[in-house]
Amino acid sequence: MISGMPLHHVGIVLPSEEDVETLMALLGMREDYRGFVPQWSALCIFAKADKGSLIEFVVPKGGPLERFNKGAGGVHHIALEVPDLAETMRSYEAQGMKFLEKEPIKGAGPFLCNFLSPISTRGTMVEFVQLI
Amino acid sequence: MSRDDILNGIRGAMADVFDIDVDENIVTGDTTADDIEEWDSLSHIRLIVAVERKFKVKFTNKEIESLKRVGDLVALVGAKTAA
Repeated sequence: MISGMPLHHVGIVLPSEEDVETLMALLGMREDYRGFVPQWSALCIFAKADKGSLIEFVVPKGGPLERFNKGAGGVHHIALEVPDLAETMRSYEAQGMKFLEKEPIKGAGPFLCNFLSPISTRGTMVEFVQLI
Repeated sequence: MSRDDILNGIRGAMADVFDIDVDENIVTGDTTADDIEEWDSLSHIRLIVAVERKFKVKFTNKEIESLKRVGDLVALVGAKTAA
């Protein structure tokens, strides 16, 4: 049984890098690392607050994310950290749930990731990440 | 409830959820997510929830995953409201 997964980050979609810089400045955050995830056409900029909480700012470069919240962006997902993503996927799939990708994919940082299908969560986007 | 009543109700839900103009020429029983740009995996579940509320029915995950076209949704609502 899966339980007690700590929060890894919260994902926020924003229309542009300029919007990310503006919001990071407003919140007193600094960029930690960034990367591009081709499967989701997304530039992902991870930012940290002084206490270490991670926020992922997602800038869509095409695909359905560009239309998220009618293009205005907003809070998109929570990401939970798991020790073994493949095992986590097997456990949920055994309960009849599906994931957006058939296999874990390399995330924008030092981790593997995958999302539960929003059908399984009734619309809440939940990502699982495994640090590598 | 007739099939046309259900289809019209679903059209209304689609217009609301996808924020598009929906008329009989655009949305038919054969319409799929490929035909409507705003219809992605996340807006799909919002449409499903809107339809559930409109027709006072509840779908299982397996039923939701099986839906490929608007006509499938019309048939499913019809079966549940007839039960």
